[in-house]
Amino acid sequence: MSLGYINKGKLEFMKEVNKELLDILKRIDAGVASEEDLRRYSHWCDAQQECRQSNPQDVLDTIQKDRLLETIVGRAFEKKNSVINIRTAIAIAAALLCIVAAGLWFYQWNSTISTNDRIIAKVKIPSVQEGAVLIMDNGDQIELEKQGQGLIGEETNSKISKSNDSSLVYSNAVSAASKSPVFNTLMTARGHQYQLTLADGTKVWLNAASSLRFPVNFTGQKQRRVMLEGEAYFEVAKNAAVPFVVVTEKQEIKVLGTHFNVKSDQNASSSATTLLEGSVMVNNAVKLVPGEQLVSSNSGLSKRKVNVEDVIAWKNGFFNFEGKQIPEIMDELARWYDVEVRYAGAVPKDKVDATISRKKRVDEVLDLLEMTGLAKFAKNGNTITVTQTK
Amino acid sequence: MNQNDQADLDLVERLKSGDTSAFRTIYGKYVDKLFLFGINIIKDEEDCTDVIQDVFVWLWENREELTITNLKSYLFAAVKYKLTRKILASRRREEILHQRPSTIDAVEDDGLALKELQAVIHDFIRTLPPKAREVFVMSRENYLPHQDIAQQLGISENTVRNHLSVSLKKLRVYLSRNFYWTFFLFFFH
Repeated sequence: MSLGYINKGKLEFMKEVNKELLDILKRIDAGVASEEDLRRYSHWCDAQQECRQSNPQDVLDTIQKDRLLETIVGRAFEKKNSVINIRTAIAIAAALLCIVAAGLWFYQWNSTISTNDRIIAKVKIPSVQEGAVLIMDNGDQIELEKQGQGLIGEETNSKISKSNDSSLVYSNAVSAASKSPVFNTLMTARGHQYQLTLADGTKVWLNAASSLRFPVNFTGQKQRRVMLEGEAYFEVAKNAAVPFVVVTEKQEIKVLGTHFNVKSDQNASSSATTLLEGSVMVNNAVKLVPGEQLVSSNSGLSKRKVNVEDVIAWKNGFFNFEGKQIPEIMDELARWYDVEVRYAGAVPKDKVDATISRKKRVDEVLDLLEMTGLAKFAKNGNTITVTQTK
Repeated sequence: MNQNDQADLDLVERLKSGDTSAFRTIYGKYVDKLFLFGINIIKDEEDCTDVIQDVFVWLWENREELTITNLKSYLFAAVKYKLTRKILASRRREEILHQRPSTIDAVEDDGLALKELQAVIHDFIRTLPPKAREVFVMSRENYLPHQDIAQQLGISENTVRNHLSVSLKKLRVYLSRNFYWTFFLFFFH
């Protein structure tokens, strides 16, 4: 390109503007644009419209438009449909498996049933009414309250012992590698916590109305994977070669050996991981340092500093209601005392500061909460009705 | 509010409820204007068609989550936003950026256009999967260089770059990966 001397100044100016605009575009594309960047880019786009030439190529004809629409519809609708199909297929497969499994279980449990009887199985997530229950690999359920101390069972190379009223220990009898992992599930009812020592020495405190599914031993496995619903505090035995992974509906927490708390709320719409010691990696993406909490919810991820003592207060026998809102508090009370919560009218939004012993009766806790002046509570049978105080 | 705005609001409502005919109506109503708007900027039929296609596919896939106050402005803003990457990737980048440079300085505010552009970017980020969004938000809100984001999230710089540049379409595939566990937990609980 040859430019006259006179144009040189203008060229320099244009280069500068060009560079500036380029930077703005890069910032917008990278998601770091300021409001001013957006304003300037938007204006530049609009300015291009003024010099519009009436070029016939600048207009799509009907055929082109139809073809483009079909491409769009193909990409948008069909892609979505195929996802739905896969999901539907998985859902149907899972439901069928549930029905078959439930059917088999029902059949085993009551073998006197006539084969002509139709087996109607409800696909429902079971919940524990009382105390804690251990579900063995073959489906047997052991009510732990009813077991004496000492050895209560054996499961593929692992011995299961009850060490006191509310704790269970797994130990490897033989260290032979098993082909596929054998899983047990520990479930707690409302108002009951349980402590568990896994075969690798990892300690787990399972909060009320929660469940943990875990392999009875970890020999020969690449990862120590457990699945959690509800809340648990983990003290993971160090083993740098075999990461320990906690899976919840919203998070996957990978650790090598550390102390942390995981909580999924009741409808599993959010998960919070709090780190006390060491380091953890959540969803293969976010690393936490001690004192940090990562919350995953439908609206995304957020990381914050928290007081860890408050987070694990439950493990030490306290409710920690520091800076919590009434709904969050009521969720926790529902999990601990066997109660349902209803709201008459508006849901109170203000925050509460309180630490209350879990040994108190529910009425006592409600009395204390009423003293905050935020809400009134009426208990009728198993239902607590919350009314906001004006 | 004029009649057209009201008609558009109705279309948006129908779109959100999954009405495919509303989607086709929106396309028919705006594709010409959007195409002309785009081609006046990027001056390339193929690139412009790509942008229009991306905008409409995105509109459908995320219809339930978009915050559209004015459909027309929103669509124009979406075209503007999707154009940035096309321009940056274009071989004719310098040429495009040379067009009418004198008006780049801020002029009188067109509040609506700016507001919708911000809404589009906000919606775009909101509809990203968690991991990509984390990277995106860190980069946007904290103005962190890739290296720092990589360090904070414990991932490689390359991964950060990928997250910031991989197309939305590819990212959405990632989203379905964790789905399995839902059933796993449900089934064994």
